Amino acid sequence: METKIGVFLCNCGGAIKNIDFDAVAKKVAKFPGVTCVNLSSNLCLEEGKEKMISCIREEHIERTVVAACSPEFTEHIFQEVLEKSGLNDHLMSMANIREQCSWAHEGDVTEKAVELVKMAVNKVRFLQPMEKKAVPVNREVLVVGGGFSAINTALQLSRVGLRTTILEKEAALGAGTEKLESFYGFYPSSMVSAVEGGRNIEILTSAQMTAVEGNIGDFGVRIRKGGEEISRKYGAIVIATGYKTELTLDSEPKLRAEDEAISGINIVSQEQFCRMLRNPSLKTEPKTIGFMFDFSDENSRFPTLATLNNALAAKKKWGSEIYVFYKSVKVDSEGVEKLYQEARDYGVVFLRSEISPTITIKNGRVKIEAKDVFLGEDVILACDILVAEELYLPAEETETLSSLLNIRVDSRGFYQDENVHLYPVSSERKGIFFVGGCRDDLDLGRVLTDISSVVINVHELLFSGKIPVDVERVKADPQKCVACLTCIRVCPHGAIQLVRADNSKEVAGISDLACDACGICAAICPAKAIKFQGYRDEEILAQIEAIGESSNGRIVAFCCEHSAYPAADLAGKLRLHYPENLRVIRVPCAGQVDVFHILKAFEKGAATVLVMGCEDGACHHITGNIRAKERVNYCNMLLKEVRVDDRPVAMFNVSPNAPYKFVRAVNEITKITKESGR
Amino acid sequence: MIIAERKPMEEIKQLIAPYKKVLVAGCGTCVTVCWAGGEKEVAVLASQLRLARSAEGSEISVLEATVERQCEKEMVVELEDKVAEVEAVLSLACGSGVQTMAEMFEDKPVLPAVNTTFIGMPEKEGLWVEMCGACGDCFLDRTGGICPIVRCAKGLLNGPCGGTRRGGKCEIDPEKDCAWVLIYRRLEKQGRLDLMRKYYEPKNYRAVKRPGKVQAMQA
Amino acid sequence: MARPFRETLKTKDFIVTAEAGPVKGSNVTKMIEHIDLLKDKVDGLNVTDNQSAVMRYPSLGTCLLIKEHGGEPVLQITCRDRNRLAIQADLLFAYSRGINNVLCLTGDSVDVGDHKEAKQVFDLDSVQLIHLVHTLNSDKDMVGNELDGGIDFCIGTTATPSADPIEPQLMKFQKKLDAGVDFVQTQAIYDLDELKRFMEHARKMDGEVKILAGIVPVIGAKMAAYMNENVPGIFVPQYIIDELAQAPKGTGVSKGIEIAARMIRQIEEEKITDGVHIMFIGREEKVPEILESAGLL
Repeated sequence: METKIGVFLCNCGGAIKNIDFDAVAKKVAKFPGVTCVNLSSNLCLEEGKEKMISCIREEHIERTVVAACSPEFTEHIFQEVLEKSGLNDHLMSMANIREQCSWAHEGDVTEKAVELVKMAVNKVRFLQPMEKKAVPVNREVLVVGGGFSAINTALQLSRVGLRTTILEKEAALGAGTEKLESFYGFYPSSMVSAVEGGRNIEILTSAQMTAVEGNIGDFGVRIRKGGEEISRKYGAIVIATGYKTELTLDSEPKLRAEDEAISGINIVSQEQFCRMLRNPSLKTEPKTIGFMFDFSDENSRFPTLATLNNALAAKKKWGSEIYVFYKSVKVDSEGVEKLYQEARDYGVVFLRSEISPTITIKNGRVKIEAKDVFLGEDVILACDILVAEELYLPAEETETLSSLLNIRVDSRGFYQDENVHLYPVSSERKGIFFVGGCRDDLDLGRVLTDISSVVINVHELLFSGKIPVDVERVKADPQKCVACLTCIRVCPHGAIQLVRADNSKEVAGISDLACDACGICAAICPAKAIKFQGYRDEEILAQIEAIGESSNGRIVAFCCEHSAYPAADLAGKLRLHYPENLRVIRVPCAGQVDVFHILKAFEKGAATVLVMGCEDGACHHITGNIRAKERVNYCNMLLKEVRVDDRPVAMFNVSPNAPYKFVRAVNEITKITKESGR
Repeated sequence: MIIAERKPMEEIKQLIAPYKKVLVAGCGTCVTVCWAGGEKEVAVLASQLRLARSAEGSEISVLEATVERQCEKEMVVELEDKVAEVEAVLSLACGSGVQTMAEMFEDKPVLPAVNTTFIGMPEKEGLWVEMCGACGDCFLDRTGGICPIVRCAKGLLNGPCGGTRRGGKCEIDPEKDCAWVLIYRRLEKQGRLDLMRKYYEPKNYRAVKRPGKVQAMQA
Repeated sequence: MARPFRETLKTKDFIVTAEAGPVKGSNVTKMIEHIDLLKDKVDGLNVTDNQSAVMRYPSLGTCLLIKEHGGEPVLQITCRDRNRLAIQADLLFAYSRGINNVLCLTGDSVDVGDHKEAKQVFDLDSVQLIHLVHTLNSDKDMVGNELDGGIDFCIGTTATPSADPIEPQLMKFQKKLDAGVDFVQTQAIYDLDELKRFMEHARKMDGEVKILAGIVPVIGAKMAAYMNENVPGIFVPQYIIDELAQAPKGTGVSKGIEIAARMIRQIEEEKITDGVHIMFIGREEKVPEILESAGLL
């Protein structure tokens, strides 16, 4: 018995003018399995939806095809319709006959519309129902760190009803917060006592994470405290381990007799200088003070703030002569420009130079030599204290922790890959977040924003104690899996682990909670063991078959739903026209495109294949576009081995809001394809 | 596990040149793990062969099948029907699998589509390195768990040779580490450098007399 | 008749050996010229064995020629081309024809030579080879059979003072010395401080063995840079490269000889080693010039 397929065509209130819907309906009705074809002018409105529901019920439709506008808009609407009519909402495929057909090409596009519907009909035959389930999750949160970010995150999380553990490797909380006292008027002790007295908060000091297993909703964490190993479970983990600073000068800061200024050698850090300022029993107030920042490290937001604060404070307290050597003063943090102005008004002298000043010790004083950009002359200063430039660096344990948590760091060694989709506080693994100075050179305003972001994110995830998932949306078949570990190694979201299947063989287990449905694993599996519902071989090949049945010269484009697909839609909206022979197959990520699918497209007569994904560094799934590029290169090599073609597979990177780039790419490829005679 | 690598396409095309109907047979064990001959690679190769023939203007019918382990007669027998239909079998299994198939289906040419290279492990996904030479006389206990028979380019037992490059790289290939420097560092970590100071007599290269045979004690 | 090398090792203050490279072919004319040129000027004349894995007239054959012409040959045997049976057989033959000095080497890999697809033997390594010679020296073969007529070889081997890291090389060197070695010819050295450091280790390990520093003249800055990049175990310091670069065009060879002679003189004066081993393959006719400039003639 063939599956009953119902096709619903919509002309969008008459907005689609260059398709002969009657002709389409006639042709479509002949496709195997299609038992009813309906035409509407307002399928997404109440009337249209009601009609659709009745039709599905009355005709006992088992699979649905909707040929209308882009799924980006209305997929969810029709999924609801399916639910209401008693069908699993996954049993639908949409043909984009508006943005990517009617609006994208000149003249009559009836033929293409028929093909697009055929692709959807072919695919829908293979779709399997997918269950939704609310998976119970652990509601407790682990916050790693003990400074300002960690304490405040924990406080806020506890106040929204989530039990939180603070894990700090030192013996006490509040390290590194003294700076904040003089800058922002926060008193660390009150912060710490707030968290110590907090309900819903557990504090573990002198404790360190030694192992992390599992995924969001169920992280198994082992903690070593005082020689004992504790095992805990958490729903989410927030890293707030802060940063460290290092003086750029080789000589260690030498402050003889704690917090005393003397006429000896004094090169100090900002922190030490703060202590000097606060020291009530300071013997000698320094008469001349030099500051340096922004030469070696462009990430100088915090050093800038520290310098301005300290310089101003010193000027007010001691009236010393203060000279600040800088390359540029970055005032983008709130209140910093005002602070800069105030410092200047108070008489702090700012000297700009292009390269780092030379520091020497002469006659017991620190000598600073620099070439002032504005004076155009060399400036030599002999001062009692030099507050040297500090580098803003990742905290000590960053490498270890990132390894334990299986998360990437950026090019400077700080948490959080440089990928816009992760900002501000996410990692590539669901349920693991970063907040504060451990991820970037932040000022207080931005740190507070981070904290709010994290609290909202975590609350949203965990508060109800359940997270809805699509059950086994991506699954490794334990019968076929050979535990080659490839998927585990390439999953950008750390969502796959080795698990014991029923027959107790170790196989790859994909966590429904942690999986972000990119399909990179499915494409690379050498045993073809991973099935990604909606994008399995049968579903993709069915679409390719439909394309292949028409005359040759088709260009098959695998378009990622985060980049090229929306770009194509936008091109349609703007009525940017491109050649009609393009056939788009929507994929969740360019990295899901399988070499096998590409070769099959050629077997079925495609002239060229395009793979289109996100721009460099902006892949929604972090490494998807890189994998796609590797595969495209590999595919071209495989094809070169058997044909004379020159690179019949091309990779393009586009942003979702770059319709012109999309159109240019399609035009270019069409031209090349024609010229090569394919 | 056994690591193999697909043969150059030119060679494969020549192997099947006389045939119009072939079976591409994969193996679900070692060659799947090293991306050389599992179900995926069978599908890719089959596709390539069809495209190759069509580019030449001729035809080929390519059947595809993968068994769990091609070196087991009981598993290979599943392919009986498909083998009967074709003129030749193109096997993506290691040499052991190819020969088992050839023995099971004596009347059909069974052709190797991969080169079996070594026993090894993955250094990272997609990169495999040789680890074991199957010499039949394992002495990894003495070398901190690093085999000089295959990881030293000259297979020395009292290494290193005088040609170690700066930084401890091999005389032959500057990209490779000198195995004896690796052994030195490993034994140093374990405080067992005395093992490296010992003199080791010439190896028994006839520990495994080819063709090798192992009879389990239980049977 | 040349003086037996074994005796020279015991009695002479500063020992000099050189190397003759065999021909690729059977025409031994040129080789005989080199032999005649050098046989009386050096204490021992080495002949390489398919050096750099390039197939040539055998060391054994050339040593016979040296013997015929009244020189003192040093047979070189590598472990690359022969298994333990062939090596033992060759040693018996060599001894029966009056050759009784042997340098035991591991040998370069076939990858660097001209027969890149050959099967490498390496049935033995250099330490095992030294032990083997001792076994034959005591009138037994490797598996314990009594020999009807044994051998009595003076045994030498190589060392690499320029290795990095040095510790594994020193361990190997110790094994060689423990096996019993009469003389050592090192790989080419250029940095005498490095040589001195190596000699410190070496003297502690074995006070008796005679060590000869390997001298290979470098005839141009480009050659030096090439060797640094591509030839393992050799390191030419920058100041020598600079000196070579400053030499006027066409004077590369004489500059190289000058530098080599200077090094030899310094080694002799400061008694850094017990002698030198000069390798100028392809330019054997220039070796007397080096010896002369170094004051060794």
